[in-house]
This record gives sequence, structure tokens and C-alpha cells, in this order.
Amino acid sequence: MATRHAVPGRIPKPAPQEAVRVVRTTDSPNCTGACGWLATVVNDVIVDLKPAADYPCEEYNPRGCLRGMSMTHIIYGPDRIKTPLIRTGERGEGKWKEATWDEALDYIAQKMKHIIENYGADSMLLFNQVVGTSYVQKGAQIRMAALLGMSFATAYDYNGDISMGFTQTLGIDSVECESKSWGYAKYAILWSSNVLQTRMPDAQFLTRFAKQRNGCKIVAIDPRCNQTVKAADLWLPITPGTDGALALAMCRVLIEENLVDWQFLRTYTDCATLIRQDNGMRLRASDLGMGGENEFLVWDQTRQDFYKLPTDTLELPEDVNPAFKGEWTVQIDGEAVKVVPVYQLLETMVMQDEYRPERVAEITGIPAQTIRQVAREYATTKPAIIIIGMGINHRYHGDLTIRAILLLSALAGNYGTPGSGVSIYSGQHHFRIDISGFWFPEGKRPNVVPLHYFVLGKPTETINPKIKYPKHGFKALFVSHGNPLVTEFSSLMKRAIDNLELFVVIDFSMTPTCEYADVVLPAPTFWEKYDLVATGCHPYLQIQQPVIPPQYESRTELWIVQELVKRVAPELYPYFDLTELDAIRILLETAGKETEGITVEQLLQGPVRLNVPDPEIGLDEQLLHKKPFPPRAYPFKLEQQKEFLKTGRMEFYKEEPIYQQMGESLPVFKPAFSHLPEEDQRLPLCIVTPHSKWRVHSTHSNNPLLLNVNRKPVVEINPLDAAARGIQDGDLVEIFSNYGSYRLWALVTETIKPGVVCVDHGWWDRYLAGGKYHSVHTHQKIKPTHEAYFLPAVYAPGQHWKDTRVDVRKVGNNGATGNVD
Amino acid sequence: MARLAMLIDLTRCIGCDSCTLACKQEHGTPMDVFFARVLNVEAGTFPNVKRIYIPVLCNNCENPACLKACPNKAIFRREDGIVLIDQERCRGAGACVSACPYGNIILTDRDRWYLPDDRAYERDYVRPRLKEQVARKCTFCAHRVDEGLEPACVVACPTTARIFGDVEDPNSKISQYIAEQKQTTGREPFKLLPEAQTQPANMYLGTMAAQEVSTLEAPSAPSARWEEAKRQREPERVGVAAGAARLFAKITALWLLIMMLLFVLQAVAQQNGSAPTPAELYSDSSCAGCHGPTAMGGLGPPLAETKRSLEEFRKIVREGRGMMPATPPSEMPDAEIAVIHDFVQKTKLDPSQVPISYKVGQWLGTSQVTLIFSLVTLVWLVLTLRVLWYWADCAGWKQLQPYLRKFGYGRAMGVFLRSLVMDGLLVAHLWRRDRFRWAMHALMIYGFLALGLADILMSVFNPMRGSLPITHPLKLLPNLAGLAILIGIIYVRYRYSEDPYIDNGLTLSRDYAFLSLLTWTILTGFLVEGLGYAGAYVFIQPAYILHLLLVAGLFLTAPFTRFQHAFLVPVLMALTKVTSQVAYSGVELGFLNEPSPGRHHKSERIAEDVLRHVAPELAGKFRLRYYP
Repeated sequence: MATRHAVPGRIPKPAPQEAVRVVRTTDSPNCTGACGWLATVVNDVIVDLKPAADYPCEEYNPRGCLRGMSMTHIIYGPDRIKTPLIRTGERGEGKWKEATWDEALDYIAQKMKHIIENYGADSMLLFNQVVGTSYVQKGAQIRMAALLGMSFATAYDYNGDISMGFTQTLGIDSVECESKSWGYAKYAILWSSNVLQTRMPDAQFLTRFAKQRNGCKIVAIDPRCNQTVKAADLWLPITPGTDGALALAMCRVLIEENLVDWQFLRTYTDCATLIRQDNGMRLRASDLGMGGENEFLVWDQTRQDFYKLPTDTLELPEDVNPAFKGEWTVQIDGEAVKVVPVYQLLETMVMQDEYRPERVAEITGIPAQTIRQVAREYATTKPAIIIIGMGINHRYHGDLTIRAILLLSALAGNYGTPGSGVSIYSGQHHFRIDISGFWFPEGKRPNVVPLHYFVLGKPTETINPKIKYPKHGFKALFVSHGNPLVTEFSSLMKRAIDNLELFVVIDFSMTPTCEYADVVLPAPTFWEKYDLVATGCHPYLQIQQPVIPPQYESRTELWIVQELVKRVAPELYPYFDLTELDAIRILLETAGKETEGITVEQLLQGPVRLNVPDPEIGLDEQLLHKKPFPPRAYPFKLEQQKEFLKTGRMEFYKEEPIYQQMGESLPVFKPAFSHLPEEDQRLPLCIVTPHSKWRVHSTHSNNPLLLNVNRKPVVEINPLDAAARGIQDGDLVEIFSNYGSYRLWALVTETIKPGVVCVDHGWWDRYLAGGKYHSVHTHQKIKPTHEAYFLPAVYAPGQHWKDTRVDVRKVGNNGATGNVD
Repeated sequence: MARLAMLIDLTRCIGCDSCTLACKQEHGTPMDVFFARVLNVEAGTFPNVKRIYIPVLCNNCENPACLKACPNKAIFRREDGIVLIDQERCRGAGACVSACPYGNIILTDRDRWYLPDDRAYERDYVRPRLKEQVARKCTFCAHRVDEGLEPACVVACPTTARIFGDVEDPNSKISQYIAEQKQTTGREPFKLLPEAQTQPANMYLGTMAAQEVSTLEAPSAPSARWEEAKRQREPERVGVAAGAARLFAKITALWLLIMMLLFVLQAVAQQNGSAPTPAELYSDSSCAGCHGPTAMGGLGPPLAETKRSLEEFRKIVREGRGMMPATPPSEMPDAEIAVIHDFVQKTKLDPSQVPISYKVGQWLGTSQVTLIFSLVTLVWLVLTLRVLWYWADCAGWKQLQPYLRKFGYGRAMGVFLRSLVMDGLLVAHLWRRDRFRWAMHALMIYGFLALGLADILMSVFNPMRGSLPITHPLKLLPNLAGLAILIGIIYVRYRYSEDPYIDNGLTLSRDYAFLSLLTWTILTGFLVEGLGYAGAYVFIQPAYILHLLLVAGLFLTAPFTRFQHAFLVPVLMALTKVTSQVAYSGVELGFLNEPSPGRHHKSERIAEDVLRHVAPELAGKFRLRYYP
């Protein structure tokens, strides 16, 4: 497959004869694709990339997309870091000294030792983005953090991808069916999910299998006529932030029209559990002396008595007929306490006038008859799937929205078969296997502190006591595989970094984050080192291979860790005296039933399906085997998760006092921007920052090949909004808020709802016409309910990037600066 | 034989541009050069807006416009239907760029690259793959096809929206897919721009998504919105320029027509003719050549029993009449004229001896010949204009209008004319690349032009076509021009026999037709001259008629044979120049932001065509966007 052929002419010319090597590897930069590639290598130079298309399940082939295809221009890209760099000027000034590895490592080690001695190892924070993409290299860094006792900031929650709505309802931060399951759907609701752009290798399960083979009806809910709407039969251009109301109105339709699946509610949900009207807590078996603290009661209509739900299974005896409506009075500690089932509360809530479709139509902009029609179709078409995108999750009240959607799905009972359920694909955070064996030697774990608190510079008042904010604050930050200074809170982040004694960035491209570092260490790209990867989108475990040797002076993360440990804590070196393949072997052996029987040799041949059901439908164990919720979130123990899902069922009622205080025990609808300061709420436009196909977050932002097609950052704006501001297509404009502003070009388009503007996520500042990318969003706010418990990246604070209001003004004419050469 | 084709299922396509990038990877194309691309179309107005993605690549047409437009036979069609541009052969004239109605051919002045020069990947493995400054396009991955592989865009498409194969084989993937889709989803494939008559190989299947919208949003008045957009696209000042340009074009056309009519009328007005003898003197004189050895007539009228006086007779000989050339005293003294006059006057006219050729000859009087050639010219003009119109249409002339209005018609005309002179008249393009080929072209072009010029000069300075010595400039010019063309023809014939590129798989017979016509035209031209000098007057007239017939044939077939490249290529090159100037002028953002700037207007045509299939109600209300 070498491709050094010229265009065949009339007079045939032989292709150059060279020693060609073809290597199978995996590209896995947190796009959730984890696609197999065949790289053709000549003289240690990659000359061609083609999808490997070697998945045993034919439907998964070929996978791959334009970003994998253009990896060559990152690997050999202009921004590639060639040697370690040590800052000589001020932070961000751009003055560097090219250093040898010894110089750089000695410098870092000496600083580390100083910090450990004076402040403690937990003052050093490691932040490596989305650890699920790299079980070995990122794992090695975490292994070091664990053994040294450093702090570690999970990315999933900081990115806002953690779906607290899922955690609150299901006890796990996200649920995903393998994308093959989409193909079985007969009805699909893409709720703010732009899968045609964000899950490209899997999109064919919608367009080719669901649509073309199954005649699936696709409904897209999004304020933009985004790329996925292209494949939709019905598009609901919703007003941003009102999705929760829409979901609840649909729930109401199901109730009004008798479309509720009682059997599903009976088995899988907490709808029959009883809530005490005195303190809002659930009625426990212990309250009535019928059992333990964490056993819950329902009212059995058959026996006309309370019935204790089993804790080891979801299965109820056939004759148990729990009541969903009614009111009972019980004596607890000598006091008469009224109890009502959760369902009764839910029904009362959604039957309030504010959730009447006609009323919801006014705030969402979706006609009542459509709300009824979609609800009806969703409840009556089986299997029907809901795919949730991050647009509704990256909100302060995103958890409420998702809880409402989950309620809708439960009422419809659209679960249990391929092509049903609710899936949320939120990056490769999700561990497919238990990585503890390699990451946490002898059970030692790093001190996990969500990055929010680092950015805030201090703990909140409501911080969960399980989070150990370092006594002396943070003194050092190690960023690897990440570019946090290109995210929406970058100005706050910069301020936090300014207080550090050491800021090390490990990367292959000279990113805006690297530019602010004290020491930059050159890492190989994913194509120059071994790793083990998996994704939520498909169930194949794959190996990443060094297709070419590490370029320039770059060294793998494992090597860097080994060298640092040698210098900082030589006694720990034996833990790191291994190769990447050794690490993979450890992982395969210790990861549990999913990897049972899988060997490195198999993986070197190609993708190997994990020992998971085929097809995976999401919540398989619960739906198929009636095992209580939550499904296990690796690498934690079920007990840890059960803490916040005590009923072992889908919880649509949260009893914890903080939820009650905030009025969020039930999945109510709260207006999206209500938590913002008054002056922010007054800004006329809301802004969304979706992922584009040109980048994986900020990776590929600087890929010259993709820039050639993508060219420049634009803000999408409706002609009505544009006209009101005198903006024409291509004009140089400024987006501004009370926090900051940045300049880019206007794309006046009919595909966006008036009142909404949109800028692609992940542009590096240098491509803007001015300002700092998305500096309009600079408030970091943690929702107190997210602090009720803490389990790293499972129950942790989310993020609210999308709750931003802005305005746009024209600053230049079309053409004046509009054309990028 | 096979007919390779690609079917693109718009239901499956997600517009991810993986094909675009796979193609770049496979071919190692430089910056801004995209063989495969995906048109990103938004149609309608909010909330009634639809999106559609249209992957576009070379259509490998059965009747490829590019191939016919190529002046250099660099474009050829293989037996399996793949149309290729030979990179070695192409000289980068750029006629094909305008000729392709799909905008699939790219010619850049200089290649720009993505990576620093020290990156071995690009420097050693990418840059050398494509030749610079030649026309380039999608090759259907011919090199992969030759190895039994599918094109890169096909294997890289994550949704398998591209089905590739031989449509002539009912068992091929593509044939089966078409049949299956007809059955299961009721979709019939369609092809792009059938009106361009290129017969593309590629087919499209429509999208199955209904793309309905449900919202309380008040529908904006679509027409008003699009009218507004249109108005913005055509600023007022350009409206004036456009009007002026249109007026100018009309006046020019009218003027040309009037001039042509005048020319014909004048020719008709110049009519009449006849003449006299003594036997020996007469039969040796040039008179006998046309009037018959016994003065009973030949191609010219019989002179026997002439009624004309000597004075009239002499006047006619001296001044010529109609086709009859003027004869100076040096060739035929007055005395001789008197003798001849006397002879023919006394010769009895025997009507039975008047040859049939006289009737033909009489009919072929100057006026008729002029008339015929006026007609021939007219037909030629009509055919040529029709052909040029076709190519202008291929070049997307109509779609270019709004942008030209913005750019300014005057400015565009300037670019166009400059290019016509430089690329057409001076063949500057060849001058830069290949001096020998330039010289050969110069022989032919300037030979032709000199012949035309000689004709005009002759009409002005020697209207009666009196015979002139061979050294006379009016004689010398056409003879040298003829000679130049002759040398050119000899070279072309030699080249045709030697050149492996000559058969492009489509036009060879037409090319030979032209070459043969031209050869015989020139040869008969010289024959007439030669017969005159040899004094074989009897043969002159038939040879001359043959020559005229060949000239007529040459012109009438010109729009369809290789001859056309003489006028078509300069026009196409000029159109290419105009388009690229418009693209880089920044008048329309789309032009510059699209992959391979300069084909935006053709992409719009494709989008409109596809919308007619998938959303007819939005066909006129769309735009291409270059951002997701």
C-alpha cells in the first residue's frame, strides 16, 4: 500500500522500490474513536495512513476520520517540540533555553524535592487529560503520583463531561451502549448530540444501519441546524437551556396518555419507594423496624403492607405489586409520618401547569403538538434510543436536564434491547477495564483533587470533606496530554498558575499551555509509543504501537517518569523498572473478567473484543440480569458508588438535604442562566461552543492540513442578529461579555437560531483575530449538590461552559482582514 | 472493457471530509489543492433550513470536456473509463480548468506546502510525487485500481457512502448496490449536470432524511431574505458597469452583422463578365485557360462571336472582371489583344461545343463564390459561437456573473482580452515552456493570419487580381504564409506518427480529419499557383475549385475538429484567467475560502443541480459554506 506512485501517465513508470513496513496501530486522542490504522513506513518515515478496517465485527469497519488521516501533519508538524525547553524569561514571554534531558530533569527533580520537603508531595498536582485514552503512558504518570503521594486532578469533571445527572440517577457518571447498538434503533432522539461530527467513525450506525436498513426516524434537538440535522427527519430548534422543560413536558404527555411502562418503573426505578413527608428522606426499613438503614420500603398492594425491596437483585416476586400512587401514614419514633411514593411526587410535579406542553412550547420554542407527537412516538416505537450530547450537560443545571431525560426514558421503558436506552458519549474517560493493577500499586492512590479547586485557588465552603485540599495549597503543576490554557476558564487558570513554583508541561506540540510553562518536555505523539486503549464507543481493546521511533529528542511518558523517580525517590525505582509491554501485561492480568484470556500477542495482531455482551446495550447487567444499580465505575468498588445510590435502583428522587435545600430532589426544570449575575443575564445572546470535525478539543488546531480546509475561526450568527448589529458575512467581529472579549470572523448563517451564536471549541489564540479564546466565560462556579459526595470523576463537580451570555459587535469590514492567505 | 464508476449515497454521507483528507494523503497534494472535496450546502431560511453534503470528485466522463479542451493531448481516457492528465505531457495551459463543468481540475502557479523544509516526510515523500505547474485532478486512484485496490476516498469513508466498481458488470458491488437500493429504498441514482453532456461516470443516491423542522419561530419570508442577499451581492455601482458592458456587447454584435451584410452586398454588386481571338495566338494565351481552346467557353464564357468592341475587350483584359484577373501590357500587349479580339469575333459560336463546365464556371462567378464564402463564414461563425457557448457554459459563465458584476465587467474584459492576446495570439504560454513548439505553433498561426492578411491586402491594392510577379510583396506574402503552414503541417504529421500521446482515446479521427483537410487545402493552393506559373491554364480552374471546396470544408468542420483548439484554447485560458482573478480579488469570501479557490461558482451549479433532486423547493435558495 505504499503510495509513492505518481499519477499514472501514458508511459508507465515503475513505482520507487523501497523497503516498506506496514504497522497496525490505534489513534486515540480522546475523540472516542479509537480507530485502527495501517501505517506504511519507509525509512522510518510514515508515508501513508489508511484505516485498518480489521475489526472482526464487519459493521465496525472501516472507522477512521479526517483527523487520523492527517496525523502526519501533527507528527511532522511545524509546532513539534524538538528538545526539552527551560524558560529563561517571564512566564509566557517566549524566552527559552534548549536543554538536554539531564538538565531539564535535574531542574524539575530539584524543584520537586524542594516542594516535597517544604510543603509535602500533595502540593504537586498532576493533570493529564482524559486518562481513558492511554492506560499505560498516562497510567505511568499516575503510578508515580500515587507512589510519591502527589495530588492528581481528574479531567473528566473539570472538562464538565461528567454527567452528574447520570451519577445522581444511575450511580455512574455515564452510560454508553456500543455504537453498533444504534443500528437497531427504530426511533432515535439526538438530544444536543452532533454525532455526525463528533462520532464520525460510528455515525454510520445511524445513517447506514438505523436509517437505511431500519427506516429509523431520527429526531434532532439542537439550537443549530448542525451537521447531524442533515440526517434527521425532524429537527427541533430548541431555545438553549430549556431542554429539561421539554423532557418534563414529554413525561407529562406519557402520563396523560397512559403510555407509562409500569413494569419498568416497578423493576428498575425508585418510583415506588416511599418518601417521608416530614423530612423528605426515603422511608427505610429501619424506620419501621423491618430491616437495615439502607433497605427501602414500598407499599405492596397485593398484601396491603409495606414490602422491603431486595438489595441483591432488581427482581421482585411476581405477586408483589408496588403502589405508585397513594399516601400512607406510619409511626416512626412515635410520630405519625405521611409517606408517598416517588412516582406520586413526580406526577404531581409534571402535572403542574408549568410543564403543560403549551406552556413549555413558549419557553422552548417547540410547538405543543410536536412535543406530544415526539413523546408519543418515542414511547410507542421500540426500540427507541436517546443519545445525549454535551451541550445540555455543560450547564449549571445540566444534571437536572439529564435527570429529566432519564425520567422520560424510564417512563417509556425504552430499555433492554439493542437500539434503546439513553447513552451519553463524553470522551474516553470511561474505563473499560480495572486499571488499578498498574496505576495503583499496592492500593496506593494519588490524592485526587478536582481541578476546579486549583483554578479557584482555594476550596469552597461546601467542599466535600473527602477531598483533601493540600495544606499549603498547590506549588507545582504537571500538565500532560492537555492544553488547559485553551479552555474556557483559561484566564482563571493562568492566575492559579502564577502562584506556582513549578509548572511543567509535557506535550508534542508547542501549545499555548506549553508557552506558559517553566519547563516543556517533548513527548512522542501517539504514533511513536506503545499504549493500551479502549473507548466507550466500541468494545475492542487495542494496542498502540510505535510506528516510528520517537521523533527528535522526545521521550515517552514512562521514560520521563522513570527518570524523575530515579532523581526524586530512587527507592521507588523498582516500581518503574518495566517496559510498556510489561505494563500492558500487568493490566491484562489484573484488569478482571473483561480482559480474561487476552494476550499482548493477540493485541499485536489486531483488535480484540473485550469480554462484554454482544451487542452491549448499556446497563447490560441491570437490564438483562437484574443486578442492582449502579453498574461498576472502574476503578472503584461498587460500595463506593452505592453511597450515593442507596436504593440500588434508578433514582428519580434525591433525598440528601442539599438537594432538598436547593429544591432539586426531583428533576425539576430550572432556567439555564438563573444562577448568573444580573448583568450577565442581561446580555442578549447565548453562545455555544460545540466540537468541530477539525479538532479533537484543541489537538489538531494547529494541523496545517486541517487548517487548509477549515481556515479560520468564525462565529455563526443568524442573519436577524447580524442585521441588527450591521454585521455582514465575513466581517471581523468581536464577541464580548462582562469578562472579556475576542475577535474572529462572522459566518452569517441560516442554520442557527436567532439569539444564539456559536464558536467551535478548541481554537488556539493565535488563529483568532485578537483576544483570548473564549475569554468571555471566566466564572468558575461549583454546584453544591455536586459536592454532596465525592468519588473521583464519578461523583464530582461538573462544569457549566455553555451558561455564557455574550454580545457581538462589528469591528471590521468583510475582506479588510477577512481573507486568510 | 470496463466502466469504472463511483456511487455516492447521500444518505450515508455525513460530510466529515475524511475523503478530502484521504485524498490529500494519497496524492500528496500541495496547499489549496483538493482533488476530492465535499460541498457543504445550507439551503432555505431559518427555521426552514436544510443541510446537505455533496462529495465531489472527478467524474471520469465518457465525453470529457477537459479532454477535448486540452491543446496538448495531455488528457486521455483509459479503457476502463478513467480520465487522466498525463503529468509529463501537460504544459499547464489551463484550458481544461475552465472546460470542466464540475470545477474538478486544479492548476496553481506555484505549489505551496504545509511543513517546514526539514521534514523528510513532506520533502522526500510528498513533494516529489506531483509535478508543479501542471493541471491536476482526481485520478480515481488509478495507481491503486491498477493494483486491484479501491480508491483512497472509498476505503477511507467511515460510513461507506462511496461504492466503487464496474457498472458494466452486473455482479460488481456498485451494480448490485444500485439494484438493491432501487428495490429496498426506491432510490434511483442520478448524475451531475446532465446538460453539460459530459456523461459522468459518478452517480449519486438522494438523501432519505426528511429534515422537517418544528418550531414556533415565525417563518421568515424566504424570498425577501434571498432577494436581500442577492441585492447585497450586486452593489449599485457595478449595476451601471454591467449595463454599459451589456450595451457594448450588443453594439459590437450589431456592428459585426452589418459589416458582414455590407460585405456580401458589395460582392453581389461586383458582377458581370465576358471577351475575344486569332487561332494560334489565342489558344496559347491565358485566355484559352478559361474560355476554351476554341473560344467555345470553358469555365469562363465562350468568346466566339463576341459583341464587344475592341475598346471594351481591351478594358476587360487590362482591368479584369469578376474572377478574371487583370492582365498588364507586359504579359499581353495591346496588339495581341487586338488580334485575339479579331479572332474570337470571327469565330462562329457553335452552341453544341459550349462545354458543360461553362455552365458551372458561369455560375461560379466571383459574386457567387463571394456569396458562398459569406455563407460558409456565416455558418462557421454560428457553429463556432455555438461551440464557444457550450464551453463558456462548461466554464460556468452563467454562475460567474454575480461575481463578475462585483468584480467589474470592464476589469474582467481587460483580463480576458489581455489573455486572448498573450495566450492566444502570442502563445506566450508556450514561449515560456517550449520554444520549439512555440515556433511550430507560430508557423501555423501566423501563416493563417498572413494568408488572411494577404487576401485583404490583395483586395485593397490589387482588387482585380492582376497577375503579379512572384517577387511582388502581395505574391510573396501568401506564398510564404502557405509555406509556413506547410512546414507546420509536415511537422504535425511527423509528430502524429511519433507521439505516443496523440491518441487520447476520443478525438483521434477528428484530429486526422482536420489535418488531412488542412494538408490538402494548402497543397491545392500551391497547385493553383504552380499551374499558373507552369502555364497549364486549362487545369487552374478545376484545381482552384477543389481548393475552394477544401477551404470551405476546413472552415465548416473547424468547430468540431482539432481546428477548434486554435480559438477555443485561448478563450478557455482567458476564462481561466478571469476566474482566478475573480477568486483572488476577494470579491466573494467563498471563492477564497473554498478548497482550490476559483471553483466556487461551479460548485454552486452542482449544489443547485443536486438540490433539484433532493429538495427542489430550495433549489435557488442556498449557499455553500466553507465552515462546518
